[in-house]
Amino acid sequence: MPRNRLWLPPLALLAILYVVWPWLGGSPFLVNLITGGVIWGIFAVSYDLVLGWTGEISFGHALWFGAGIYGVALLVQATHIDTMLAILIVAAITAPLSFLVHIISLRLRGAYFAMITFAIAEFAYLLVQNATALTGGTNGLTGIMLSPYFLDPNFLYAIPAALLLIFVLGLRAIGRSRSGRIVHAVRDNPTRAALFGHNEVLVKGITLSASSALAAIAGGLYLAYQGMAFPDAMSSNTGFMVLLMVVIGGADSIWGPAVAGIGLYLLENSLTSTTAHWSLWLGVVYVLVVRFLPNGLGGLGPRRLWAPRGQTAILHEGAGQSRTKVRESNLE
Amino acid sequence: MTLQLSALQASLQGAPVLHAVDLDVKPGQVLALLGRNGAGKTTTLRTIMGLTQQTGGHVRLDGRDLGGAPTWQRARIGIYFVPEDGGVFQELSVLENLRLAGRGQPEQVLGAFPELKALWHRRAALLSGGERKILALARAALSGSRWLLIDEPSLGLAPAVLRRLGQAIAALRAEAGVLLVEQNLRFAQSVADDYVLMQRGSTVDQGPIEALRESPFFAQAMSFGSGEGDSA
Amino acid sequence: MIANVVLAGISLAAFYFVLSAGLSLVFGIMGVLNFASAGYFLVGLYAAWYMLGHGSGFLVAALAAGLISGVTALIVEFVMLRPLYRNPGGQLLTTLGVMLILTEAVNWVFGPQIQQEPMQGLLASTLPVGGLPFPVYRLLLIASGLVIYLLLVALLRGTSLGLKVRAGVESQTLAELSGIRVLPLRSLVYALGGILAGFAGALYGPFGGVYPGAGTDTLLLTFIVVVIGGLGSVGGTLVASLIIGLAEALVGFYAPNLALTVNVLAMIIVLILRPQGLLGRAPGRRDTHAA
Ligand SMILES: Nc1ncnc2c1ncn2[C@@H]1O[C@H](COP(=O)(O)OP(=O)(O)OP(=O)(O)O)[C@@H](O)[C@H]1O
Ligand SMILES: [Mg+2]
Repeated sequence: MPRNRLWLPPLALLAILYVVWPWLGGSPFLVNLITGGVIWGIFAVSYDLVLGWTGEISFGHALWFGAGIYGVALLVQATHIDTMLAILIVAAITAPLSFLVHIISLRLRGAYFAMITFAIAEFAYLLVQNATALTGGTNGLTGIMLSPYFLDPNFLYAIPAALLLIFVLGLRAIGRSRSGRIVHAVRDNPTRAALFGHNEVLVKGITLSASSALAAIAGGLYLAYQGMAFPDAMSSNTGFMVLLMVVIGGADSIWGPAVAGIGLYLLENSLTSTTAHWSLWLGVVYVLVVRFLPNGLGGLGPRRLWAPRGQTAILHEGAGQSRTKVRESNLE
Repeated sequence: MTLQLSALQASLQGAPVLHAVDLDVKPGQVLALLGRNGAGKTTTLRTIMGLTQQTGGHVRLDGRDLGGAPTWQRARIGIYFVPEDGGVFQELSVLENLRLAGRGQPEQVLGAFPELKALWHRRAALLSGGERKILALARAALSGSRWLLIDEPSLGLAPAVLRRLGQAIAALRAEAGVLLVEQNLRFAQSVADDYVLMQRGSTVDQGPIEALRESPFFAQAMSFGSGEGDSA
Repeated sequence: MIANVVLAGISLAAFYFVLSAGLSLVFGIMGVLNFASAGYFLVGLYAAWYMLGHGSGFLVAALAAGLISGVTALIVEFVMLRPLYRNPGGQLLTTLGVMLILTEAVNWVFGPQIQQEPMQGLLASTLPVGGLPFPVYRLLLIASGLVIYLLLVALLRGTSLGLKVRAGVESQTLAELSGIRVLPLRSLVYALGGILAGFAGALYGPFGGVYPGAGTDTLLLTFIVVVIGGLGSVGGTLVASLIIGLAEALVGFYAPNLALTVNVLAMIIVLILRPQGLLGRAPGRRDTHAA
């Protein structure tokens, strides 16, 4: 076995242990908690495509999570189709929708991009809150007819984990492929990438639309997990939280955000009951990571596993400098 | 007393753009930096100002290496950069632009640039291209800088305005050494004393401006007959 | 009655102006979308509430609130933002963290409950306007907004420091090329932004309530105002505040749920069609050739 495949056997073992653990008497409370964590792990991985791969800061990622939640809830309510199928259909619809939204948003960069994504997500959040007839408003949508496998906590626990593993391995592979290198080249030096015929807006738009589709899948799973849809899940707080996860885990490493997503979700939901100030410490850790660890906590681990392929442009000196202000001239 | 670049290297967003730039500007000298589009002339000026990341070599002023000095410090010790677009504050009036330029009283420039009188309180965005360039040079004069870096001042100017610009630059050289980037050869020849030729990020030849056309690098550096399609 | 609604809209506008002017200036000179502003707002809100509860007069409390927030901002700038000044992405992310930290810190110290702001005397009374009672306090809002506007204009137009700030707002590079040290200028403007946000917090208490979520609740509105006014422009912020304040009062009068939604939609449209703001001039006429 080649050296760079050495991690495969332990990973497979871990996966098997993970899946059989509930049947071997894992605590139902923990099983449930971990399920939520893994779903957030998928959500975090999807945001890594935004922050890590395109280098743009979006404050509106909660929108795509919410699209998954409400899209699947409404689709299942209307058609009673299989839940997993509904999730895939909603993801497939989200992708082109997100492409469109982002092609428009990408007319702006830096702080302006951050602001328009924030505004669009808040707009959708307000619509969901106010379109009571469709979404139930602040009462949310309850009584969704989920497929039987999602009603069994052990399956509910295994399915997101399988998807997360597929996404992480798949995205790592794509990141190393030619397409992945193009995405990174566009992020690091759009001017030069353009010389090689790579349209920045197109490349970033496609990446962002894939990211939104993944976020929608996470949202659909979250709906299955909660059994109901509430507007709060797509509030700006959700968008901030996923950003914190990716920054802390280490943008562009895919693994880092996955682990940070799971870990921070578990911490939040086990610590909030013991220390009321969990969020304060989270904020402090996050600010320190931004300042001192441009590759996140993941960057601290063994390089082989963690280290991102390129630099994480968004968190490094000088990155994106020229495009932060709309008015600055070519002097910049 | 020279502004001296030696083996200067610089990168843009990680891509090396300047490889080996060597040149000296002396007080009272107008040195024309010539080369075709993309040769790295603007990048050279920006690197002198500390606006582009220097990756090797030296920028020396009177023998002192400017090293990692920030842009504002380079400006204060007497290097003034007039970018291609004029480098004036569009949102500020002519008077305010002059006030920010430096030590002298704004009124001082009226002797050399009387045309500014009528525009005194106008917002710079509302000036014509030529007026804006005059304002930029007036700012340069007022700054009292001993070194002026001027990027393509002739761009888009009518011949009459160009003559006025030539006079303005000639007036500035009395106080300062000028490094002038130009595409307009005739204009360059009318104001410059010497030339430096640049090609793909490196300086390749220099000499007195009268000898420019005899340079073995002239045709190639200015892309005459090189067949690569750039115009000089 | 309509006079009453319009006056309410103007008072709201005055508050939005104080709330947003600092954010706009800070963006202008630093290029940073300052989420932390919501945190300074919250600090000011609680500082004023605390002082009012301990016998201080309203104006003293409001000025002290501005000062405390300003000092907080100065420390944040010095310790957290300055080291990242060549990294705008990192700065943006940091200000978000500062907002979360300050919000949680206030939550920790004062608890999550809504506090009652003790208002007495003239400020708690009302005047009849257009046949309906109009709170005197809202007149104070209008006066504060006006005074702050005039002070800002005097600072920016009438002093050489203000001239340098305006130069830095237009182009940091060009300012440095003119020999201006932009770094200390940034700290100063950032602290000023903190002061304005803190003062706005003090103004918010009596009509908006004192609770830890107040900062994040007003965040979206600030963004709307600065975007519509054009980031970096004080005059634009004033006009945008009036538009948003009046729109909120009028739309809110007929359809309370729609007011915010309409304003957010306006923000999105402005961002797409005129990112420089409704009144802003087309970005850099001088650099139409730049990417
Ligand atoms: N971000 C970038 N990454 C890589 N190369 C770049 C980047 N920006 C500019 N360049 C290249 O750097 C080179 C030097 O550019 P510069 O502006 O200094 O040329 P110039 O000599 O001033 O040309 P002109 O006469 O057209 O003004 C050009 O070939 C340009 O394509
Ligand atoms: Mg050039």
